[in-house]
Amino acid sequence: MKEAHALASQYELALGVLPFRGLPGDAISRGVGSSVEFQDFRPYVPGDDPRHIDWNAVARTDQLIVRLHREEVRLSVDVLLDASRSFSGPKAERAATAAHLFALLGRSAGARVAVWTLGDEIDCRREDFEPMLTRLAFEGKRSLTDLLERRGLSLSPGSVRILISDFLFPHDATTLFARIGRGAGAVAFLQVLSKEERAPSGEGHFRMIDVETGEERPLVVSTASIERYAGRLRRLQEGLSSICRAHRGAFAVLPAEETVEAWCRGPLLEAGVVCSR
Amino acid sequence: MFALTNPWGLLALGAIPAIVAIYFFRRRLRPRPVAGLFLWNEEAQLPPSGRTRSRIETPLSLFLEIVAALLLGALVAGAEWRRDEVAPHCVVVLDHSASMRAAGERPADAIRKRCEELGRLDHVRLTVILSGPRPVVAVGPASVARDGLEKLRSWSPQLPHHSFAPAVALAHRFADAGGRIVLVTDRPDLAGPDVEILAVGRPLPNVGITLAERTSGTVTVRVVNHGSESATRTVVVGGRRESISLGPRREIALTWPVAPEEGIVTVELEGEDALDLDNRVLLAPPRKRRVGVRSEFDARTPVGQRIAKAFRSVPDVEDGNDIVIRPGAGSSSRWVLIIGTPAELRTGEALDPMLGPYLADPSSPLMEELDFRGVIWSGAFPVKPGVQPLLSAGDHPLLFEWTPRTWVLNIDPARSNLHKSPAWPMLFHNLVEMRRAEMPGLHRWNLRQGEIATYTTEETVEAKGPDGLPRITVPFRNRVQVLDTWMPGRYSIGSEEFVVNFLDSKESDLTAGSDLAPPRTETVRNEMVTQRTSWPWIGVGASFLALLLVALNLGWLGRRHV
Repeated sequence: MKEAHALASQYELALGVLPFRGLPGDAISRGVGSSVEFQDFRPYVPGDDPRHIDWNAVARTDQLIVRLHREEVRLSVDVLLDASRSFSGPKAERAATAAHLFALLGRSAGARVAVWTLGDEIDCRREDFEPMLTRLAFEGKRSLTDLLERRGLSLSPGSVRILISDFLFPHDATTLFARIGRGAGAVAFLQVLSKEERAPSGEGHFRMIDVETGEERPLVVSTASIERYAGRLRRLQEGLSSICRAHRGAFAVLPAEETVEAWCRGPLLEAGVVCSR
Repeated sequence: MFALTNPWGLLALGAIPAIVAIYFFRRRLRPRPVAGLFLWNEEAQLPPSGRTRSRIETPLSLFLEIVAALLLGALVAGAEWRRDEVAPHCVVVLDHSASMRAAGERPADAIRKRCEELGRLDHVRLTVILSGPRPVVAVGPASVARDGLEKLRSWSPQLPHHSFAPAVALAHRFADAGGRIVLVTDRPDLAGPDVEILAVGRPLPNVGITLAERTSGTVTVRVVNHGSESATRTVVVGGRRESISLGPRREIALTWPVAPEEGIVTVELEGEDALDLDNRVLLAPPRKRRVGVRSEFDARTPVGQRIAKAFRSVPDVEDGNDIVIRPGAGSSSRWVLIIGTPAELRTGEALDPMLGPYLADPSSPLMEELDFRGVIWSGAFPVKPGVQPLLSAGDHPLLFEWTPRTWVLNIDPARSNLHKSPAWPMLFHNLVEMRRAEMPGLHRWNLRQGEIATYTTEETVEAKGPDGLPRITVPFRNRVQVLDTWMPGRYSIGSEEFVVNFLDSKESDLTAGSDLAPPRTETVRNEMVTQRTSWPWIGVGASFLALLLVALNLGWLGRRHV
């Protein structure tokens, strides 16, 4: 977790979009608000705040015109960390460190930060998330899809949502994105994969055991089967990347054997999730 | 009661530990934890086998397979559920003598009728014993009557005249305690009082051969007319035909010359006849089994002349070295008769003459029919112990086997009257016949039914009957004997052939045949406990259940764990 603190001083959140909505604060929304910074005029419609009617314009045009200002909102950051059993060793450690880093970056940006751990149960911390992440046991047996179907998440409206997972569970990218990204200001899907998950090695006869469900399947692993695996993984990543791009979100694949600093310098920077201060 | 018809089938249960072992070892695969198993979804499945043990993961599947194996094992083992049932049991002694051939189908019909009186043929149990010196169980014991009657279709009586007693005794062992036996015969007058008789005979005329003999140059047969009217027959002997006419109950002996070197000669009676078996005989050429004898006594002395005279009374003897007679002196050769006491055997002075009593060893063929009564035994010496006495007087061996096949006559022949007793020529006769029996080959070539064929050989030989089937040979020292000679016809043993003929005047005489049985006072009804099986239902049920379990396992459970 020291690495997160160190990196928090070097990087800041740089998601390509700002939130439409949020609590009043330091950040500027993409939507219309009530800050002093003028944005535009438009005809009054019932429901508009009468305090925003530009009486000078009314006098000139004899129409009810309201001034539109950029709304000042307080940024929210929801960091969602997949705490399933498929995370173990360096993969789990680095995923937790990255979650911590994003929380710290959110905090340093003045945002309201919530860290969600998605195991068999959903836990959320808005304070003291460092001890939670340090002690976090990655023992969830449910896939993220099952979990989200069973329990909804009360994510902050307009928040920046960063989901850290390996996404190695059967899912439909559009549905998953809809569940996470509905009402979000920005969404980033960060896929943490070990080398063995990205490019399996070792051919032969195996009893493949799904670490989460315990399901077993006897398989012959060959060069051809590894290629077919890689093809399916590539299609899965393309699906996630496409849906993220379509909603101006970010998608990055983070190799589990690299450090979080390397992620920041590499894939996170390239995906526009962080930027140097 | 649970029973197994094929207990060896229980070996099929060995499949159960095999199934369990397969379950334990079915997955030899190294475990490989993966996060996204769904990404391997289309890979080929491996056959479920392996070398490393893993826990049983589909216990229900294992259970179903074990139950299926148990059921199939029971199926193979012939598991049955039997229940006791009482069925009438008909125990029949069937007269197997040749005269029953004249009865045609009547014996089988009588047995069928008897069974039908007792109940349904598929319920009544039937045991049929063929009479004879050695009774044979032809049907059963306790066969289903319908099956047993079917077996009787191939019955062919052929034995000479014999007693029913051994067959009746055997039949009583099959019948219930106190039960009675049914005797099916054409000669009800010969039956004992303890059987119920089904008489199937009738008086018939018959002409048959009752005696046949072949010497080195002739064939002689005796033909008898057992009928009350005259009969005419044609006798065919080796292609020669001769017509004969016989008056009522008359017989005739016919002789024809036959070349000694001619093989087996067939003598046949042609003409309609009630019994076919006595119309034909085979006669094999007898061979001389001559024994060479040599006496070392001076032929001019009285002893030498007595020995020569004794040998002249024995047939088929010639000069030779098969047997040697010599005065009392040591000998290391075999087949030697020493007359006089060798000096090395003597242990004292000559004994006083003896008049007996003489004690002979009846088990020795050398002593057969020897009568020493009235013999004055002189010149005997006491001999060393260790010899095998065949004739003794008190403690003194008078005739003994010194070494194998070397006998000593402990006597002074000049001072004894042994040569005047019948035992003298008989002793030499027995000696020659013993020697003859040791010579290789068949002892006789023309036998009657039931006579034992003896063949001397040092080798293993095979005997075959007229039906071409092998006959059991009984080895005894350097001989083998063929005991089963009940079927008339040609037999072979080793390199030789012999013939067996049906020659039985009593059986040829069919005039005593009768269908009149003593009145039946009660119905013979023996009952026996039989077991009716419920096998078909158990078997079909077990098979169906086993298949169902296998299908269930392969189909439903198979999909689950793949």
